[in-house]
Amino acid sequence: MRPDLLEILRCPVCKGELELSVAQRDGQEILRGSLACARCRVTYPIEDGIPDMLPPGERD
Amino acid sequence: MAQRLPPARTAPDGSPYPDRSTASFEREVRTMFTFIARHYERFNHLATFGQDFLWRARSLWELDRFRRVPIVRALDVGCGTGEFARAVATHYPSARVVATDLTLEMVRRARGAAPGGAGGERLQFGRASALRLPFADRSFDLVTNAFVLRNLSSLPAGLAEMRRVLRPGGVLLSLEVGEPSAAPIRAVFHAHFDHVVPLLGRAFGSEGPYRYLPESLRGLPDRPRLLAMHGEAGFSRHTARTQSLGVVTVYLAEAGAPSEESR
Repeated sequence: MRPDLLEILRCPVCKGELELSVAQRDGQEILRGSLACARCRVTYPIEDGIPDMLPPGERD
Repeated sequence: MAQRLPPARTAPDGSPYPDRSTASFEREVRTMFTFIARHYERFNHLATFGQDFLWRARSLWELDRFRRVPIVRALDVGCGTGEFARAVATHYPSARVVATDLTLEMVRRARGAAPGGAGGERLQFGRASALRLPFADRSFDLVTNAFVLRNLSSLPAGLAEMRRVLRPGGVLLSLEVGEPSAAPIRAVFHAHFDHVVPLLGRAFGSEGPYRYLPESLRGLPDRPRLLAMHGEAGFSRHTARTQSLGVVTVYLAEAGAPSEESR
C-alpha cells in the first residue's frame, strides 16, 4: 500500500482514523508495518505490501 | 469470547464445501477461496467459455450509460485475482482503484498480477470483509463487485456497507450470474451448473467448491427481488441489465443524486 490510501482508509471496527508505522518500504510502497486505530487502538498489520483490515478475531 | 464452531463441511474428495446454514459460513467461504485461488482464473474462463471477459467489459459500457459522475476513485469488493479491478483501471485511465478481498491468498495474487508500470501505480490492494469495509463514508465514485453477492453471509448488510462508502451520485455495479427467464435456456443453464461445472471441478481436485457454486446461485434472490433490495439499502435510481440470454445480470444503483461539486 501507499500512504495516500490513508486519506480514505479507516478502522473497520469503529471507523476511526489510522496511524501508520512503517517497518519496510520500497519507494512510495509500504511493504511492512502496521496501522493503529487512533480511537479503539486495534492494530492492523501490513505484510508484503498488503494491509490486513480484518478485525483481529477474524484473521484466521 | 471465543466461539465454538462445528467442523467445516468437506466434499468426498476432501475439498472445502461451504455450508450457508452454519455460523462459520464466512470462514468456510474464505477457506474455499484460498483452496481454489491457484486455478481460479483458469477455471472461470473454462467454465464460462471465456465469456467472463466480455461480461466485465460490457458491464463497464453499461455503467458509462448510467452514471452521472466522473469516476475518480473506485473500489472493487471481493476482487479475487484482480481481473475486474484491472479492467476498471484500464477503462478509466485516470481513476485510482482499490481492490479488497476476504481471502489473503487472492489479494496476494491480485497484487502480484498488477502491472508494475503503466496503470499499476493507480491500483492498491488490501484484505477486508465486504460487510465491514475499512473506508470512510463517501470515499468512492464507483464500487464494483463481480460474482460476489451470492457469497455474502448477509446481502442486505453487504449492500448497505457498499452504499455507505459511495459519494452522492456514486454507483454500485454488481455483476452476478442469475437464472435465465426463457425455459429452454434455463434448462441448459441448470444442466451446466449442476452437472458440467461440478465435473470440471472434480477434474481440478475441487469437488466441494464447484458443488457449492450451483447452491450459491440458487440461494441468491431473483432479479426483481435483488433489485428491490438495492432500494431498501438506500439506493435511489437502480436498474438491471441482462447479458448472454439472461445468464448474467449487471445491477447498477446510484447512491443518491450527484451533488453540484461531484458532477
